[in-house]
Amino acid sequence: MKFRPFSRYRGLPVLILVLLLSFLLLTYQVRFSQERASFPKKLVMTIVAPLLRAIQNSSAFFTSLWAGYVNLRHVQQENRTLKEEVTRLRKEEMFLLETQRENERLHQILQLREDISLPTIAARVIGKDPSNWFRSILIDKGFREGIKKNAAVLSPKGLVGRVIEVMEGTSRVQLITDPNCAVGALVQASRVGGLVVGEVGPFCRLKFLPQGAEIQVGDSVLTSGLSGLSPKGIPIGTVSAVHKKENALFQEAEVLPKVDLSSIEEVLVIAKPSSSEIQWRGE
Amino acid sequence: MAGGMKTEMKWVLVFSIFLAVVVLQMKLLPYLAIGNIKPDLFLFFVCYLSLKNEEAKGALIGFGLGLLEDSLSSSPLGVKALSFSLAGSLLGFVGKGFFWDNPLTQSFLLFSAGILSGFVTLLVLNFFLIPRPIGGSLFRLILPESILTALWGLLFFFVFQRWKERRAR
Repeated sequence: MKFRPFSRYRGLPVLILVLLLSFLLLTYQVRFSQERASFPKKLVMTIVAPLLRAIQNSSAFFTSLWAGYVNLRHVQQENRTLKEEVTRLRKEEMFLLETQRENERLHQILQLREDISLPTIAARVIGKDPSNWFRSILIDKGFREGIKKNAAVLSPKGLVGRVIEVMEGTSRVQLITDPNCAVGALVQASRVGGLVVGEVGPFCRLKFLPQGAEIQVGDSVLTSGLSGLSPKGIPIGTVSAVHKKENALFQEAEVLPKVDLSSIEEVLVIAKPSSSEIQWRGE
Repeated sequence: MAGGMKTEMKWVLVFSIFLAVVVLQMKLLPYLAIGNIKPDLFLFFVCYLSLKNEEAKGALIGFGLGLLEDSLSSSPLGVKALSFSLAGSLLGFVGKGFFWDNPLTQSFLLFSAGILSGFVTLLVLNFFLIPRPIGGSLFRLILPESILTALWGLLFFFVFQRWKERRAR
C-alpha cells in the first residue's frame, strides 16, 4: 500500500468521537458513584465470571494434569506399567496435597469466622485485576449472597481490602495496596493513629503520623475502626521503614501487608459495616 | 449461505480469542508478574490489530479493548478506553506507512505504545481520581509494564505470524 500522509485526517473524527465518549463515561462514573456496578461491567462479568469460576474450580485437576505430564516426561526410560503407576500415584499425591492445603486454608477461614462475632460470608478469589494501575480481586459472592458495598474483607492473616463493586454473583474487592484505598489505622505499640494508603508497588504507606510519635520498624499496624467500615483491631501489616523529615508536619511509614495479596485464594467478607473491636486470634 | 457461515465462524473465533485473552490476563499472567507488574495482553492486541488496520479502526479497536479492560478492572470506565484509543489511532497511522514486520520494530512499537498509554492513563487518573506520583508511576509501573509487554508481545507476534504463514500455505 502507498503511504499517503494527508489521508491521516480520515481517522480524526473517529478518534475525537471515542475520546469524547471516554471522557463522558469517566465524568459520569466519577460524578455518580453507584451502589452496584455499572451496566457494561455487569454485562462483561456475566460472560466472564462463569468461565473464571469454572477455571478456579478445575485448577486442582489441571495442576495434577500438568504434574502428570511433567512426571511422564521424566520417567520415559521406565517400563510402561511402572510409568503409569508412578504417574497415577503422583497425580493422586498432587491432588491430595492440593486438597490438604485447601482444607488447611478453609479451616483457618472457619476459625476466623468463629472468632469474629460478626456475620461473615466466605468467598473464593476467582480473578485478579487485569490492569497494573489498580489492585483488586474478584470474588465468587455477590449481592445474591448478601455482600454489600464497602464491606471489609479479611483473611486469617489480616485485612485484605474492601468491597467496591457488587454484582449478582460476584464482587470486586479493592486491595489495601491499591493507590485509591485508604484505611484508618493505628500503630499497635504506640497507639498512634494514621491513614494507610496503597502505593504503586507491594507496600502501603502509613500517613499523617504526628512528628513526635515513636514509630519503630517491626511495629504492627492495625485497623482503627474510625472509618466505620472495618472493625477495630484487624492486623494490616508491619512497619518496614519510617520516613521522618525535619520540617514536615507529619511523619510517614512504609507498611508491608500481613497478607500475601498476590497468592490469596479464600477470603471472609464482613456482612455488615461495623466499628466494633475484634480480638484478633488469627496467625 | 457459505459466506454467512464463514462470517459467523470468524466472530466465534474473535469471541473465543478475546475470552482466552481475558482468562490469560486475569488467571495466568498474575503468576508471571515481576515485582507485581504483569504484561498487558490487551495492549498487545490493540497494537497488533491497529497495525493491521488504519487509524479510524485502530481508535475503535483501542476503545473497545480498553473498555473491556476497564470493565474487568476496578478502574472507572473510560480510563483505558481513552489511552488505548489514542495508542490504537497512532499505531493505525504507523502501520499504514511503515514496515513493521521485524521483531525490533515490533518491540519498539509495543514499548512506545506502552509508554504513551501509561502516560495518558496517569494523566487521566490524576485528573479524575486520586493523584499519583509521576516519578514512582513512571519507574515502578509504566516502564516495567512497557518492557514486559514488549518482550511478551514479541512472542505473540511470532506465534501470530507463523500461524498466518501456515494458513497462507
